[in-house]
Amino acid sequence: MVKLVIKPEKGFGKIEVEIGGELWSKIERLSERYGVPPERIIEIAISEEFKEPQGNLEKLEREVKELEEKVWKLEREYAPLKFKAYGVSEDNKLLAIALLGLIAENSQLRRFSGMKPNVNRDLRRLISYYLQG
Amino acid sequence: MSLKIILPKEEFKRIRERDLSALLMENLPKVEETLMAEREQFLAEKIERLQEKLEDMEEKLEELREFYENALKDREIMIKERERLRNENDELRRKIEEKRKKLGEVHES
Repeated sequence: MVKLVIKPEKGFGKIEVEIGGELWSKIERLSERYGVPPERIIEIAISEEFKEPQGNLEKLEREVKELEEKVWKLEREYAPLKFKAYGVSEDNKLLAIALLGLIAENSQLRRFSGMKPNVNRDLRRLISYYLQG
Repeated sequence: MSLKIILPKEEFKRIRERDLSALLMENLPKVEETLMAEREQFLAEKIERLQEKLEDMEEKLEELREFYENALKDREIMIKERERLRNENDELRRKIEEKRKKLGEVHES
């Protein structure tokens, strides 16, 4: 037997009811099945404000499961790819630093040799992109 | 074991005189339907959130793939360019050195 005490939000008085074993086991079963506390089940029953299901619970459960699997699959792909991309990007940063030195040296050597400097704009753009990042 | 429930005053008045055990027993099937409807609503909202997340993940993954592919290409370009510059600089240094030697020889003679 479970004792149920109901009180008003404001004012005095209370209702006390003993909930019998059969009724209580039905309430507990619903509570476990839908993951809600027994108090909520009693509140809905008392309020008599009911909703009607559309009957597509299984379909929705299946859809949630499928979507969760898809998201999980993408997340599993994303993490290692991000790690790899970070590695390549760091390599490129080091390469950009090395290239800066080589380009400076090249300009100087060309000047000594009486040659025009060789300006590769695309390469310079690449270098500054990786040095900024 | 005891349960405590607080109800709005009007609700409390309404059920005061009723046989609560009978009311609960009678209404349990409809409570189950209500819980089912609430679960459906919860799942429908979850599906909406998951679809948004999925689209977002697909977009992010596509961007990352593109970034990775570009970074690989850029690495190849920079490695080639590093080799080219190293060779050219070595060559230029060698020629300058040769010139210097020749100038030195002319100076000595």
